[in-house]
Amino acid sequence: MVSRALSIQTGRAAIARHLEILAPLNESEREALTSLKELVDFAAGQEITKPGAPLDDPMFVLAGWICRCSTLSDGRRQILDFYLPGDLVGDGSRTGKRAHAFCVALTPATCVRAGELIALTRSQPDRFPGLANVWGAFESEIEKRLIDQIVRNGRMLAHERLAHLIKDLYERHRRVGVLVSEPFVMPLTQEMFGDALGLSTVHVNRVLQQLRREQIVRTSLGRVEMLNAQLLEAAVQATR
Amino acid sequence: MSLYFFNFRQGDAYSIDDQGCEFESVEDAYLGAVKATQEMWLELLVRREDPLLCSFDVSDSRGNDLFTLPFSEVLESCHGRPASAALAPLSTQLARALATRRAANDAVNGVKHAMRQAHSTLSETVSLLEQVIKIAGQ
Repeated sequence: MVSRALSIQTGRAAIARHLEILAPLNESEREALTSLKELVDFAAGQEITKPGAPLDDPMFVLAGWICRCSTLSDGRRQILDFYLPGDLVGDGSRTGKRAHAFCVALTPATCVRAGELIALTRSQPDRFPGLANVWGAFESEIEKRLIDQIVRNGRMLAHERLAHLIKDLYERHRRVGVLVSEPFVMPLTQEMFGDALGLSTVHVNRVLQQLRREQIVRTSLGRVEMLNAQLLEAAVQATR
Repeated sequence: MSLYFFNFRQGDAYSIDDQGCEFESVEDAYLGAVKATQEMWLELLVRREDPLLCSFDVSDSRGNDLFTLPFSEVLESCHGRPASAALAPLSTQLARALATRRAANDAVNGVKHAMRQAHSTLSETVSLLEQVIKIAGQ
């Protein structure tokens, strides 16, 4: 079990790394990041924002998994996107800045408020040239992930969808340095995978068994471990 | 919530589900199997595999067999049911136009068939004539 302090420390490193990937930061900007202090904890299943809510409380994810989702009147849910340590939740540059979907913690999650930092850097682009530009880059990343999600669910078969999503989640964790140990563990239930991929739980179960036979994943109730990045990559390439 | 296991049969192949899925009741487990079956029909057809060879054998966590869902069952449940969406009823004029088009297509196909036969007969005749000329020449 990873301690909370270590999770938060890893999460802070993930934020810094993610920002540095999106834009080079100067010393003032790295110093400004240390001003991120106000932590917010969410329980698994807790709603963070809902449709129509103003997007006026942006936060970085330090630990845990958060999703953006829409629900139908009969309770069916579509997960649109996952937010992982190092990601920015609840920001938007468009006029009015209101949420179009729910934001929900899938696991216990810890975030750190970033509203003041974002406002400060946007108002002083000369002093914070990297950070002033980085917020738009986050929006661009989100748009890219939404495009991937549409293509995955609109054009791929179940096995392709699952392999593609697992690869994406793995790459995102690796990129910001939060893969502290192998294998890569996804704390996602079959239902959550189904909600993300537009598949029924039993169908997800079938596909996970296939990926397990291919020695790509190991599964247990409520979690999936990715065992072999090369085999996963081969499975994704086979779909192209 | 209870665990239910969805063992999958495809012809002679059998895949045991040792992971299981959680459902509130056996009725929900059945509905879950139906939903998966509907989704998997499409995927099997895309892969040109026969869905009619497939079924789920569902058991509970104590190993009791609960039910078998052949994939044919979801097809049978649709048998003879008309479209639920409000399609416009076929008008007399449209029905007549469709019948005329069908008759015209049949006539065209008949002519094509007769032409092919005539062409074949002609080729045969030409071939025989060539043989006759060859024999006469000798």
